[in-house]
Amino acid sequence: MDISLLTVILVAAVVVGLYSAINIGANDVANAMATSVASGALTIKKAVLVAGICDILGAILVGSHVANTIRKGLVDPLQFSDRPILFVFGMLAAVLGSALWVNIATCFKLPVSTTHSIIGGVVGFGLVSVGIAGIKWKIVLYVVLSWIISPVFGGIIAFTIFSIIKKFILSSKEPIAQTRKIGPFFAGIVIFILSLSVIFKGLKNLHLDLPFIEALLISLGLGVAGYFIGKFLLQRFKEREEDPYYQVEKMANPLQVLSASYQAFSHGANDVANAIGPVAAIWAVLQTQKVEMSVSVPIELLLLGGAGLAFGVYMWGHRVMETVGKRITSITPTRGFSAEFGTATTVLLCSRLGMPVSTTHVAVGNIIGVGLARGISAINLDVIKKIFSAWVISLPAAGLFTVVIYFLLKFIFL
Amino acid sequence: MSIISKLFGKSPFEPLYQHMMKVKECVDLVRLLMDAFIKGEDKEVKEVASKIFKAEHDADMVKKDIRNNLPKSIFLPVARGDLLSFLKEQDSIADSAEDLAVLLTMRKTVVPDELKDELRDFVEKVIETYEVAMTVSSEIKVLAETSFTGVEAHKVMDLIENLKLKEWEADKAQMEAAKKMFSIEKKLDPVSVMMWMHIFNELGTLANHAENAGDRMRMMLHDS
Repeated sequence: MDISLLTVILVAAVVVGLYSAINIGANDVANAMATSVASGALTIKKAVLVAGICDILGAILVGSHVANTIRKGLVDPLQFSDRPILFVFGMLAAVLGSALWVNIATCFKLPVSTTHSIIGGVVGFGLVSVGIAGIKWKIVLYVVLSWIISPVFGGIIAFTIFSIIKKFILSSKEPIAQTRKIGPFFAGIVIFILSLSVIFKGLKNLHLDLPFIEALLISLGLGVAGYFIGKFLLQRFKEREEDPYYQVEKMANPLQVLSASYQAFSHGANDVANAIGPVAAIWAVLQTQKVEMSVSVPIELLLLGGAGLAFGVYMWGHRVMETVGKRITSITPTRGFSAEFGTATTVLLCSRLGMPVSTTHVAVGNIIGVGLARGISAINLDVIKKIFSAWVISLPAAGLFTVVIYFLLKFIFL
Repeated sequence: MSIISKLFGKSPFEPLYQHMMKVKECVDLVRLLMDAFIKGEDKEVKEVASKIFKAEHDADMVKKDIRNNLPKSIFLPVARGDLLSFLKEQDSIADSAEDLAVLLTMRKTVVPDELKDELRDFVEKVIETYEVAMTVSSEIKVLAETSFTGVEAHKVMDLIENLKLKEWEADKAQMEAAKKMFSIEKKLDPVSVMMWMHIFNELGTLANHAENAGDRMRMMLHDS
C-alpha cells in the first residue's frame, strides 16, 4: 500500500474531522450553556470557558467508547483485510459526506444531527462496499433504538427530578430552607455520577485502571465532598425581602452551572466521536498497515477532537449563546438543572455504552420532560415533527453523499 | 442550537398579567365614573367614560395577542381551554365596565337623593369583588413559577373563596338598591326605571364576571 497516499488521506481526514468538531462545538454549546447565561448564573465569557474545558475533558476521558463504535462497530474492518485502502476511502468518504450534508442541511435550516449523519455515512459506505450482509445490523439496530430511547429516557429523568423539586421545594411552606436541605444532595449526585463514569474504566488513556469497587468508593467520596461544598455554598446565601420562589431560583444558580458543565462534559464524550471516529479508523490502518481490531483510539486524536470542539465553542459560542439566551429566559435554574441533569446522565450513559446519540435530541426530550411536569410556561411541540423529519432524511442523505464520494475516490486513486 | 430555542414558545403568563393590568386600569375608573354619576357631573362622567373605552380597547388588544400566540401545538403547564376561558372572563370584566359607561353616557339619568346611599353601597361591594379578583389574577406569574401547586396555590384558593363571599354580598346590595328604587317608583318616569334596571344589571354582571374569573383560575390549580 502506498504510504504517501495514506498519509495524504489521513491529513485530509484530520482536517475534515477537525472542521466537523469545530462545527459541532459551535452549534451545540448553546444547548448546555444558554440556560445558565439566560438566568444570569454565568457571563457569556465564563460560559464559553467552562463549556470548552468540559467538552475537552469529556472527549479525552470518555470519548473513545463511541469512537470505537463508529470506527469498527457498524462495519467490520476485518472484511477489508485484503484491500484496506477501500476501508480507508470509505471512512474518509463518511467523514466528508456527513460534513457536507450537515452543511447543506444547515443552509436549509433543517435541524439535522451530526450523529445521525455520520452513522448514515458509515452505513451507506458499508452497503456499497461489502453489501447488506457485511454490516453489523444488530449494532445498527441498537444505535437506532438508542436514538428513540435516549430522549424518552432522559425525559423521564428530567420529569422525575423536576417533580421532586416541585414537591419538596416549590410546594413547601419554606422553599428556601428546603432548598438548603435538598440542593446539596443534587450536587453530590452529579459529582458522584460524573466521577464514577470517569474513574471506572475511563482512565485507561492515563493508564489508571481501577477495579469497580475502588472506583465506586472514590466516586462516593467525591460525591460526599460535593454534598458538603453545595451545603456550604447554600448556607452562605442570604435571604432577602423578596418573593421566596425567585430566591430559590437564585440559589439554584450554582447547581445549574454544575449541571450545565456536566452536560458539556457528556457532549464532549459522545459527540467527539462524530468528528474523529472515522479518522481513528484511518489512523489505525496507517499505524499497522493492515486493518486491526485491537488498536485503541489514540489519545492524541481525542485531544485533537476535543480541542476542535472547544475551538468551535470559543469562536462562535459567544454569538450563539447571545441569540439563544434571549429566547429561553422562561427556563429558570430549577428547570434548567432538571433538564440538564437528565440530558447529561443519559448522554453519558450512552457514551459509556458506545451508543452515538444526538445530544440535542436528548436535550429536547428532557425539556419536554420538565414541561410535562408543568415546569415550562410554553413548549412548541411542532419542533418534534421537524426533528423527526430531519431524522428520517439525514440517514439516506448522508449515506448518499458518502457513497458518491467513495466511488469518486475509488475512481480517482485506483 | 436553533431547535432548542424554537422549542420554547412565548409564555402566555406575562401577557396574561399585562391583560389583568389593563382590565384593572379600566375597572379602577368605575369608582370615579359612579362618583361623578351620583354627583350629577355630566362632563366628568363623559371624560371618565372615554378613558374606560380606551382601556377596554387596550385590554382587547392584549387578549387578541395572547390568543394568536396559543396555537394547539403549544404545550402549557395548564389546560389550554382553562387558560382561554379564564382570559375570556377576565376580559368580560372590562366589557361590563364599558357597557356601564355606555349606559351612563347615552342618557342623562338623574340619581334621586333617596337612592344615593344604596347605590353607593352597591358600587362599593362590586368594587370590593373585582379588587379581590384582581389580586387573584395578579398571582398568575408566581403561580407559573411554582407550576400551579403548593402553598402558593392554596393562598390563591383562599382568595377565591373570599371572592365568592364578596360576590354574594354584591348580590345582596343589588337587591337592596333595586328594592329602594321600586319603593320610589311613583317619583320616577318609566324610562328611568328601565335605565335603573339596566344599570343595576350591568354592575351585577361586572361582579359576576369577577367571580367567574376566579372560578376559572381555580380550574388551573392543582392539588398536591
